[in-house]
Amino acid sequence: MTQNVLRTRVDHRAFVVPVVLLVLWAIASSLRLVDPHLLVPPATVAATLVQMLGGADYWSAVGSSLARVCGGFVLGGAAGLVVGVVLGVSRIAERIGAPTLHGARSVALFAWIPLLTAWFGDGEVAKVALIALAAFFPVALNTERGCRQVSNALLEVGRVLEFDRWTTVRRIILPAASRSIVTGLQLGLTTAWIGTIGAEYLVDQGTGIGIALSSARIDNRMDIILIYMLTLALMGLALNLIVRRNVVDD
Amino acid sequence: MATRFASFVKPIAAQPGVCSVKRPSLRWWIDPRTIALGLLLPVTIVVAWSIAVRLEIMRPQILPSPLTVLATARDLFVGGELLAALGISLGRVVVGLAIGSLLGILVGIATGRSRTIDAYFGPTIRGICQIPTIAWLPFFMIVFGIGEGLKLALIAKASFLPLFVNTSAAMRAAPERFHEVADVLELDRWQRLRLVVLPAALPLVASGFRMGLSNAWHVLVVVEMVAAAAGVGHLMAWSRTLFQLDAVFVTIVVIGITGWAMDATMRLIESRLSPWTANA
Repeated sequence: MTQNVLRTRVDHRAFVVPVVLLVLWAIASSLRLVDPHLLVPPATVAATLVQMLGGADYWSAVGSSLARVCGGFVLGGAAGLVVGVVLGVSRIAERIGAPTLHGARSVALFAWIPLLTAWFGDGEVAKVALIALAAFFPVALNTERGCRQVSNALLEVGRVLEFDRWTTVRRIILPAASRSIVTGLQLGLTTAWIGTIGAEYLVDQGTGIGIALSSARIDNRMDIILIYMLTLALMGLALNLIVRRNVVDD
Repeated sequence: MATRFASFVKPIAAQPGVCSVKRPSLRWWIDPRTIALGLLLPVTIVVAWSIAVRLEIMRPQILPSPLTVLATARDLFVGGELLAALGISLGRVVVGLAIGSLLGILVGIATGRSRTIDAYFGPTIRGICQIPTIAWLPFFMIVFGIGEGLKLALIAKASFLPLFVNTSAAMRAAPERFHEVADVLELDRWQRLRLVVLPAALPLVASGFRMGLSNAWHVLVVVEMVAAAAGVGHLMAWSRTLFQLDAVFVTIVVIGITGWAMDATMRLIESRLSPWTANA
């Protein structure tokens, strides 16, 4: 099933534009039409790529970013699940908490950075806190929505069986809301990934893809920037595949 | 003949699925109990915050008192600094969004109307869009420097994707049978566009625009923090550098309110443009 989807997706026409662009790029840089600092020749990028793939820096940057996104996603996702269930199950909790939650969500994610760095310093804690915040909102909001939209018929079954509140949540509400919760987790993973790159770029202490991009910019190394951007494109594609696969399995 | 039936075609072509015309009611806002409950948590936070300041749990540099923040907010507001910064930021959003959404809509129409164009260009564009907008920042900084071009390019890039994706899908949103109805009614090209394609496309394009606006605002804050001499993001980053956290708090609230107001306005426009998909 999944294989068929993948097979029908591959269309040779998709490769025409990238190849044409690559050729144009090679011609433009070999004719020196543009400043070579701006438009590094493809050969230079390839050489740098080989060199980077052989070295430790590249892999440690990728590894650190992955570790960070996992840590932040687990923390923020767990908090989002708890808050989402509480707000989704209890009417009074929703009326107390939802306005504040929606208000806080309106703040652009990276606007929290100055506050987080002031409180937690320029190290790992501020970054992971921002990633957790990025994952928290979509998970909390989708969980809340899913729990609130459980049909009355199901809830009545629970009442007939005289489930207590906790059993109702565990046996009826959570399974019924699972689709919405999974959507929230997928969205949360995507925003956590964006949060990771941004947090690393803005708080550039340690190792990570965002930090490597930031220092490559300072060194004016377009080849390194392009390689990390390519890396991010591939990782984004992989992330999309994971997320889609789950939807198909669901 | 065609026009008589056209008024009948329009609403059908427009609703792909749900048809619940629900006006957002204002009662929710006015109910005092709801307001009181909604304010409970923020008030508790402010009280806890004041107590924490009083007990000096955190240094006042890191956690200024709520009253200080309020006074700073008044100063920034009355002094005109805040509004000037906000005006500059909003101006950037408007221009960047105009460029990005125009490109997104044009490319979306091209890929949505023609499967051939989509087969050639679609995968490349979608692949490039996998790169988070933030990761374009260093690239654009080298290409455009740190002037206005950088901000506009980044905002345009951020708003391009949702408009491209949604417009592309919107072009195929009208079900085949509506086109068959159009065939039967012998609508000409223009009538078909106006009565079948556009009504079906409008809600999707509008929600793409809302997402594009939200993306634009988010990325503008980042680029102003990193490379700008004016704007709300710059005001925030500069206050942070000077360790004036009271001003940082004020800018966070302003960024939040602005983001919320833009989203609320877009939702309102969306529901006006396509009342048949209200509350989608």
